[in-house]
Amino acid sequence: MTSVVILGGDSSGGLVLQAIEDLAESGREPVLECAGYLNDMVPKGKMILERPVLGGFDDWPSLPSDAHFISAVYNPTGMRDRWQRLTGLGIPDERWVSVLHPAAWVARSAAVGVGCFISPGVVITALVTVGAHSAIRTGVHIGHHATVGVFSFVGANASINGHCRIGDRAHIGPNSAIRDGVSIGDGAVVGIGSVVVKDVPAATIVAGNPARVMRTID
Amino acid sequence: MVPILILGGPASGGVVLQGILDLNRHSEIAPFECVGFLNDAEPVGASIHGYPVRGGFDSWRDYADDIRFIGAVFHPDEMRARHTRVAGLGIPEERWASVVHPAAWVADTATLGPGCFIASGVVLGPDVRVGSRTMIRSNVYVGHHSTIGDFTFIGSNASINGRCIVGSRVHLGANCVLRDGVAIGDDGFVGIGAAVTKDVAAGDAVAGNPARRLPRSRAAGADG
Repeated sequence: MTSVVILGGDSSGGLVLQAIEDLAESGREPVLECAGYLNDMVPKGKMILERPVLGGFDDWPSLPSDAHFISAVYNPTGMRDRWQRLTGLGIPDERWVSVLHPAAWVARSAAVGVGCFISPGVVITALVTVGAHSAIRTGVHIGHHATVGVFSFVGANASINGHCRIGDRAHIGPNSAIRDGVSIGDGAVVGIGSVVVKDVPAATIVAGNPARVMRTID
Repeated sequence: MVPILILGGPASGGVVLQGILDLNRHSEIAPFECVGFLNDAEPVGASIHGYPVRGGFDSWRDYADDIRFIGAVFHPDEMRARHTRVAGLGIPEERWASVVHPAAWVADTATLGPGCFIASGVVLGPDVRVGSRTMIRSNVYVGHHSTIGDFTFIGSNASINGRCIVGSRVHLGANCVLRDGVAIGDDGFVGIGAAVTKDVAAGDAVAGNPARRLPRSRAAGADG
């Protein structure tokens, strides 16, 4: 039994909690149990989805040494700030845990880093690499040889085709589709429902079908 | 097993029938027994996927109190008329049953009204509220704290993000996507694959990426 503490709230954090409970009910390994939340807004002792808030993010060293962490703190245009906040905590790699929903399909040859959240219905195919602390939402397809970086977010029902390279801190909007082999730079944002047929530079927002550059992120 | 009649035909009704059969196959105690269809177009005794048409919609009163109903009568261009027809039958709330496919994932904190159909691969996030007699097709994602009204249809692979408010008698086309917090008014229509970034007023139709308003007369859907 691994004790899991979610850094986040009742939205993305609620999805992670539900996955932990679905996993427990499925009888599959690993056996995880949610001990509560760390949240910078909700005071310690309050409840989020019937689980206790154990403190703010900075209170993590006060928790028992067998507590493991997963983050759910994504924001489309605040990925860099959120990532800085998270890495600044100095939580060691071995204290992060990934939550893979029992109805996600991850190829044996794929590699998923620490602290990732993989939702139901996700298909991660052969030789895919997903970096640490990334969230892959419901129904996402990741094609063979594709890579997703560290602390990236892939929204529901997006299709990332073969040999694509998604950078770090990228935000891929739900229902977007990315053509085979296309690269998405670090910190880039792909708008909802976009069809991306060309590489996207770092820190750039694209949207539409075909996706066009909207603006860059400072 | 609870006996259940499907109001509808071979298309959406067939999807509901398969959902019931899958649910029975994957449950320790089969929850439902489909005893046939009610259909206004097919004659009594006709067969739909091997199940008998027992009468028109109005014949619902002929069946014993233990019989439950589920509707599959959506049409993108006729949501209001179809809703009026079904509501006018006067079937009491407790006679409607919801069918949730065994491969759907409904959060413990999500709630569903009576008479809904939730297809395989659907994910309803934390604190999602779904009204009555709403149909949610395969692989739809409904994000945390979103609400869906009554007698609304959501096409397959659509993504409704967090804190969206979708009204009643709405048609959301397959593969459409709603940005976080967007509201779709009652009787609204969203075309297939549309990317909706702004609220849609009641009765309005939108399509495209980004979604733009279009004349209602051009807003024909693709899924019944």
